Amino acid sequence: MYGKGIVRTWVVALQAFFLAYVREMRRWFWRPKAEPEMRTGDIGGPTRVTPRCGTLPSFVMDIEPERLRCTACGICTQVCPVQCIWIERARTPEGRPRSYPAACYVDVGFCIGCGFCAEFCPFDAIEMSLDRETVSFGRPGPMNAADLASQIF
Amino acid sequence: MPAEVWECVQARFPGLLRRDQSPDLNDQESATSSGAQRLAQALSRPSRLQHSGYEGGLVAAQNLLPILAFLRDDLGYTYLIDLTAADYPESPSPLPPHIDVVYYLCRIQSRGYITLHVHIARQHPRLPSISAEFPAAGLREREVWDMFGVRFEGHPDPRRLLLWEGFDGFPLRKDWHEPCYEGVHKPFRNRFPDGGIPASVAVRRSSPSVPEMSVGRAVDSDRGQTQRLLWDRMASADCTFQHHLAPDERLLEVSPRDFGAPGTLRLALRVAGETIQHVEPVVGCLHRGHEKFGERNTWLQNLAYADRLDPIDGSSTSLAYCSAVERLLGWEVPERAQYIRVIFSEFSRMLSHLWVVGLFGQELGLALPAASEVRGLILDLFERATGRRRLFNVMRPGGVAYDLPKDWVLRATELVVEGLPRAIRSVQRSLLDNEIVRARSVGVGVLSSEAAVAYGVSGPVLRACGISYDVRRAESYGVYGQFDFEVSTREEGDTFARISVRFDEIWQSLRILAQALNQLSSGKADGRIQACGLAPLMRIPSGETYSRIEAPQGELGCYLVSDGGANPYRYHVRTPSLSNLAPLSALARGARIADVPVILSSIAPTQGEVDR
Repeated sequence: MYGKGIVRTWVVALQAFFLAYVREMRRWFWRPKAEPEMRTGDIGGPTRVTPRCGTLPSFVMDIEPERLRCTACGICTQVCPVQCIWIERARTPEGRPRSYPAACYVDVGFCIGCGFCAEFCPFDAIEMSLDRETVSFGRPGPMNAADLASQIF
Repeated sequence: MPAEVWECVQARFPGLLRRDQSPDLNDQESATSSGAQRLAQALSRPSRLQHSGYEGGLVAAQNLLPILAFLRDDLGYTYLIDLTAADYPESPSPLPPHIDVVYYLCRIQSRGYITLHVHIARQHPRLPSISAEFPAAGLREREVWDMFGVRFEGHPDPRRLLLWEGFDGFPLRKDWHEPCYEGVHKPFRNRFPDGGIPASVAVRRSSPSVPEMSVGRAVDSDRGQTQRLLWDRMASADCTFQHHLAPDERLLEVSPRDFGAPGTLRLALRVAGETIQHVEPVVGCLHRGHEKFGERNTWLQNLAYADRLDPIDGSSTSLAYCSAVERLLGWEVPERAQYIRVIFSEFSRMLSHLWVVGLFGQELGLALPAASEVRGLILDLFERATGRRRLFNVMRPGGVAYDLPKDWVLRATELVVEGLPRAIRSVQRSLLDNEIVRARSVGVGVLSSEAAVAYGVSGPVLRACGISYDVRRAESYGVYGQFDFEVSTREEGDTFARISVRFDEIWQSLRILAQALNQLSSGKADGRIQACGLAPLMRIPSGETYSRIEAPQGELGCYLVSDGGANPYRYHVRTPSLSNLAPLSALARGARIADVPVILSSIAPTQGEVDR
C-alpha cells in the first residue's frame, strides 16, 4: 500500500517522542539503586567518570612534601602537538640547573586535549583533569585566551 | 610496482628508469643509451638518491602521457588514486634541485598499485595535464599548482584550489615559511628550558622573509580576481556558448554552509530556471595548512592533528598515518593491537554512516533522532574504553595506546549482537521504506560505473555504482583477511543507492565486529598492544611510503617522506572527501536546485578533509 512507509516513519517518531517522557518519569519515580553512571558531558557534574576522561592538563601538586611533582625534564613540551606547555627550569644562583621548575604554564587557549603530555610524563606529574574551570558564572567582560591563561595560573 | 607490470612498461618504453632501494643499480641501468633514455637522463638522473627506499618508476615529463595512456588502455590501470608532489630544493650534487610529482594508479580488479615519479625543475615547473584522461586528476592538479606552483598545461580549470589568487608564494615548497616561523620542526626552543610567555599572551612576531600583510589577508584586488576567475569558470564549463550565459541562465551562489557534514562548503550554481547546468564547489573555507604543519610537527605530534581531519569518525586518518609510519620503520603490529584497531575502525565506520544517513534524512525534512541515539550507544562504548566520546587519539605507531577495559568486550558484544541491530533496523526501515524519501532520491544524481572510476570516487559512492572495490579486500591490511564479510554493492548509482550501501556496510561492520569481539573474548589474541616503546622525538629511517586504508568515506591514503629526521619531510593525506567531490557537477546536472543538498549529503564530503 502506498504511504505505508510514511506512516511507519510517523509511528517511529511518535514512539521516540513518548518514550522520552516515559524514560524521564521512570527516572523520577524509580530511582535506580546502583549509582548512576554519569557521562562527562552531563550537566550537574560527573559523579563517576571513566579513566582518562579529563580534558585539560594540569600539574600535580604533592601534599607531603608540598610541592609540584614536576622535575622539569621537558618531555611534555616535546610531545605537545600545539606546543602549549611552557616550563622554565629552576637554577641555583651559580647557574646550575635544578630538578624542579621555576615556572610552568599550560596555555589552555591552545590546548587541544590530546593527552600526550600525561601519557608520556615519566613521573605522572601532569594529568588530564576535570577540576579546572574554564567558564565562570559572571560576565567578566571581554574574555580571550590570554585572560584565561592568566587566570588559571 | 608488480614485476610483470614493470616488465610490460619497460618493454614498451625502454627509456623508463626504476627507482629502487639500491641507487647503484640505477647507475648501471642508466649507463646504457637509447633515445628515450637520454631524454629521461636529460631531465634527471636518479643516482645517489638522497632518500633510499623510494618505490616506483621515474618517468620523463615527455613520456608521461603515453605511459599513462598505455597503463590505462592496455594494462587496465584506470583508477588514479592520488597525485601529489614533494619539493627537494637541496638535492645532492648529481641530482639538480627538483620537484617530484607522484602518480599513484591501481586496477580495480587486482591488488597493489603502481607509482610513477616525474622530476621537474623548480624554476617555472610545467607538466602536461592528465585531467582529460583521468578526470580524477582535475582537483589534485589544482592542488599541486596551488601548493607547489607546478603549472599543468591543458588543464581546463587552472585556478588555485585552497588558497586565493594572489597568494604570495607556494606554501608547500620548502623555502616558503609561515609568518610565525620558529624552526624547521617542533619542539621550539622558547618552551623549554628557557620558558617564556605563553603564545596567547605574547605578541605574535612575523618572519622577515614573508611580509605579513600579503600572507595574512587577501587585499581587495585579489579577492576580486578570485571571484572573476570563478565567474569565468562558471560561464565556460559545460556550456554551449563559450564564455557567455544562455539567455535563460543565472548564476546562483550558495553561501558557505554545511551540507550534512561539519565544515562549510560554498557552491556556485549555474541554473536555467530550476534546472542545474553546472555546479562548482568552492573549497578552501576551512583550509588550515594541515600538510605544512604536518612537516613542522614531529612524527608523534601529527597523530593528534590527523584525527581532526574528519571529526566524525575518530580513528581512520590516524590509522592510515600509523600504518605508513610502521612501513617506514618496518615494525610488526601485535595481533591484539590489530584486533583493537579493527574494532575501533569498524565502530567508527558505523558512526560515520549513521551520521550521514541521519543528516540525509534531515536534508529531506525527515528528522531521525533514532540515528543519533544509536550513535550515542557506540559513543558510550568509546568513552568507557578511552575516556573520550570522539577524537579519542587511540592509535599509535606500532600498536594502540590503551588496552580495552575488563568487561568492555562483553558489553560491546551484547550491544553488537542485540542492541544495535534492533535500533539500526528501525532507522533503516523508517528511512528507506519511506515513499517520500524514495521519490526524492531514486534516480536522482546518477553516476555510471565508468564515470565513477574515471572521477576517482571511492568508498560507498563507488560501491553504489556497482563496482566491488574495497581497500579492506583489495589490500587486506591488518587482520581484515581473517574476517568473513562481503563488499556490499548496489547497481543503480543514484542517491538512494548511496544511502542504501551505507546501511549495507553498517550490517557488514556488525558482522566483522561480532567476529572480532568473539575472537578477542576467546583469548585468541592476548598479549602486547604495542610493538615498541615510543620515544617523544623518535627518528625514522629515510624513505617514502604510501599506505591505504578504507575509511568510512572511502579510500584514505597517507603519503610520507622521511629524510631520517624527527619530523616528516613531506606529509600528504589523500582524503576521500575531496575525491568524492570531483563528480559533483556531473551528478547534479539536469537535477533541480532542491536536489543539490540531497545529492551532496549522500556524498557527504567532510569539509575538514576537503580543505585540510
